[in-house]
Amino acid sequence: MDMLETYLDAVAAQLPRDAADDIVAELRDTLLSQFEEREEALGRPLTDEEREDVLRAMGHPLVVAARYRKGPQMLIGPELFPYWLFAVKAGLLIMAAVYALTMMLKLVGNPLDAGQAVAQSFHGLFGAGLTVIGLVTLAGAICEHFGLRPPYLDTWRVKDLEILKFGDPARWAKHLGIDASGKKTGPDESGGFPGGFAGMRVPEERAAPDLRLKKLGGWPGSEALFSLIGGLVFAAWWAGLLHIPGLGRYELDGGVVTVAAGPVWVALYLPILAYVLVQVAVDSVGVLQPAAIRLRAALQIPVALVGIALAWTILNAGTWFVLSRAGVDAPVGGGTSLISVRALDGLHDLGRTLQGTATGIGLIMTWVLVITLFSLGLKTGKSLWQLFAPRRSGR
Amino acid sequence: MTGSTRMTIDLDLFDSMRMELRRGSLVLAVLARLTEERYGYTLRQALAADGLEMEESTLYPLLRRLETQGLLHSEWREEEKRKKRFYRLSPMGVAMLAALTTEWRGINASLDKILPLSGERR
Repeated sequence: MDMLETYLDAVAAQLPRDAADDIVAELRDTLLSQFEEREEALGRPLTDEEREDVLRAMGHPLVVAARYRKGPQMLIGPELFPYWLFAVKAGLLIMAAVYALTMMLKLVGNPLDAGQAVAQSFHGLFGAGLTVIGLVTLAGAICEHFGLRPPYLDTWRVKDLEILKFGDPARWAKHLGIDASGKKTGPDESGGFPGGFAGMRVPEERAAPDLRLKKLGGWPGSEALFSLIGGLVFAAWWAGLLHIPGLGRYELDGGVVTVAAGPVWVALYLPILAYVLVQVAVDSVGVLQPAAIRLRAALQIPVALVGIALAWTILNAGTWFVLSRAGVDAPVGGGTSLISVRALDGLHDLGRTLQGTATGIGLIMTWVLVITLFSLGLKTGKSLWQLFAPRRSGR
Repeated sequence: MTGSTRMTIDLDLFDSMRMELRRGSLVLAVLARLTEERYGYTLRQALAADGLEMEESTLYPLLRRLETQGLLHSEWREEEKRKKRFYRLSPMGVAMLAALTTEWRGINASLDKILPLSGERR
């Protein structure tokens, strides 16, 4: 194939299908004009190297095609970047604090396995850290791609700024009673973290059961602890005890978009709340009795199966939300028909209209539900293995 | 650093700030040049002759964006034995050019009041 056609094919493969022919035809004409101009100046046909120089000057096909993209050119733009950076820093600090706590519990419970405990904690922290970065980036990229603008960006209040203290590791150390050299200096006067987080401190009597830790291959309590914290936060929000401002209202292309929940959430309100609370109870067993792996596995299997049934019901529920702007409604929905590479590929071409945003969110939610179903399936399989695998004779 | 010592500037930083300064003005230049119908290649040559060099990989996506925004019209026509896409301002593009020109002149007038004359140090 001619060098020019190879280059144009590479560009075309990155472009939206409906516009590719038009864009490539224009690029072809421009590049041919440049070849002709150089040939005229040199008085002879161009060599392959000289033609390649012209193509290289036009830009790499990925870069050239990216400039024709309708959406933003960056995953997290400069406006959202400070919020993204803070969320990542705070998330990583929280993960580090939780893993440090679980590592200490492991060390106290079984000092002989100190090396294993430290290695497991670092391994776990690495995975949890990547998950935090991935989730925060996904949230930011969705906002960036669809031009969603949480109202908090414009309507933040001074009283909400207390939480920003969590972005500074030195303050965490101070509140944990550790000076700059890492030496323990005694707890902070407030007895906990700023901003009403005093309750995060683990009372000694709560930590006591972990002192009875037997020799274990690992400490399943750390996984349960994360699930427990996540479940409690979700349950508090779902039950209306925790208010997260700005979730029902966004700005899109300068217009206010409101989000109304679909009937599926009303129908599944109590089943979802019950499911999360039961999961919290199972996780509590995992935290308080980390050695009772089979008990937790036996409890986890029916909960995970209920989770699969709920996720499947939600996936096939039709309309999940309705986005409204200036009297125009756009339903957000999904379903098994969107589980295809072709559907995902179409995400690039949706544009930033109300309908495009609704379709895109529906597609992303569909895939999140598919991943959830897959993850719950794996959890069920893991629990079945823990329940029925032959007991080890001891270490 | 004393007043008598000539301060050198970081060339990379200058390049980056210069690009930033030029970026916004290129849209105005493209709109102004498209009061006459042109295709991409001749438009780029005209801008270069005016002292405004612009990469093709920047110019063509910009033309497409301006057309999507309703500021340009385009049509494919054959010229010099090849089909070429000709662009010109739409009526909305004409109005936008007038509004942006007023804005540009206002900014220029303000900056003229603020900026020191060439070589003058404050």
